[in-house]
Amino acid sequence: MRFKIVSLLLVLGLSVFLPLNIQATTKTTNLYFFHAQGCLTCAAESEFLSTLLEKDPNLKLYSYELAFDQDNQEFAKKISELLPNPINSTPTLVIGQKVIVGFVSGTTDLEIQESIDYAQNNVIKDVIGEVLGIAEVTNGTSQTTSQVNLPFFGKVEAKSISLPLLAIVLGTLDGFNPCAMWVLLLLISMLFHLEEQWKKWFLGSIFLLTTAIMYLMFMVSWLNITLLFGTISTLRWLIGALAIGGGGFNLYRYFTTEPGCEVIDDRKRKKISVRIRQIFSQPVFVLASLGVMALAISVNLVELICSAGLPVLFTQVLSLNQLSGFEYGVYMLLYLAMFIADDVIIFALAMKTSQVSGISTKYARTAHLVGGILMILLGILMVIKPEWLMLNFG
Amino acid sequence: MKVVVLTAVWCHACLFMKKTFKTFEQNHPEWSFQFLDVDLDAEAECYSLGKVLPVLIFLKDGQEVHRIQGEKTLDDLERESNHAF
Repeated sequence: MRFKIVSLLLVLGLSVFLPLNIQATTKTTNLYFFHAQGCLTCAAESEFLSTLLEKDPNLKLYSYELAFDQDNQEFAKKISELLPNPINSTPTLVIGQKVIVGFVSGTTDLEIQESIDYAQNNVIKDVIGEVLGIAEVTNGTSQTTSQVNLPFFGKVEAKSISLPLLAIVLGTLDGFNPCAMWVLLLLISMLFHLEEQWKKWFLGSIFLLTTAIMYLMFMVSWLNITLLFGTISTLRWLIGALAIGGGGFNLYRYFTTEPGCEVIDDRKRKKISVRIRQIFSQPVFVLASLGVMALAISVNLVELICSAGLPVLFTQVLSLNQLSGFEYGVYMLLYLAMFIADDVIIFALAMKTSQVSGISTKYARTAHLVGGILMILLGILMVIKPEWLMLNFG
Repeated sequence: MKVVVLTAVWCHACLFMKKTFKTFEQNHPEWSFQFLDVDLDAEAECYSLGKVLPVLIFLKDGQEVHRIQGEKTLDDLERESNHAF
């Protein structure tokens, strides 16, 4: 009798777990892979997906070539309307409602694995599967991203706070790096000799605007490079090493340089002074404006190397997060706004008060210290834990 | 004692210290101050600049006896000049 009761309880007990186990082992997860012939990143992702399929028989891959196949292009266009993000670049992998754009070895592969695990352990809505008629229509859940609980704001996506915060912090630190500030101050001091107020504002604004555009172009170019060659881990390691090296140099400068303005090479300084005088002696105002633009371009090209570390690091973090074009633009503009803010304030104050005010070098020194530490930390993360920069802390 | 103050229009630390220099000068009426711009005043070429600006050169009978270099607070200037003399 006792044996029968134990057996019955065992069978009942097992029956509780049995359906779950069956569901977990037999549930098929559909992966929808949109790629293009000749695309190296697609090839790298395809290779990774093949290894996944070999390991896990519950995965099923549906591939769609988009470069030459018009039917697939139409299909991608149709289902883009149903997905949270449209499919407008390759490679793109869709798992349930999760759209993973691009492929970076060491980061995207982890994201893909995480999404597969989520799909296998939860009831997800297989949007494309429903359209194809290979998946049941369910409400399902969509994979959530890292969330943090903030007072007053409640639950907020970590990505939506951290990337703007990073843009603000790095942009501000970069702004206090006074590499090209001496040229602005020289320009302002010479602007005071102009009689008409509007000309002073106009020429100064042109200098700042050209500087901002130059910097934005540099950031966009670098972002494109990292997006294009993102699959090459060597590039990520190289940027990580550059960040660690640059951070170390910033710390070295903090500890070794005295507070004050570094004396700029005599020849370089005189050359720029002569150029500014020539610009202001132009009888035609349009030529003077073009001269200021040319000055801003040439100065910033030379001085760019002085602060290239932070924007390179920032664009690399952006590319790791695989955002939409609009989001890339917004974050880069935010960075740029913080970068140029101190120059704008100095210029506006000088124009209003007819007096140039300086900024204490203590801020620049603090920026070297904080920026140096931050660059080293981000550089190390980029090499050993790039997924943390994508805010995947799992 | 003569104090030569070397500054430049492009140096933000020099601009930041303008008020400090003025107060320092007022605190020491016994010294004569000369403010020179390293680019605009030819006389500035008589002095070596060093690595950072601004520079305060203390001269006694035409000979340099002390030098204060870089961005300083008023307290720093007073302390360093008191210590030297």
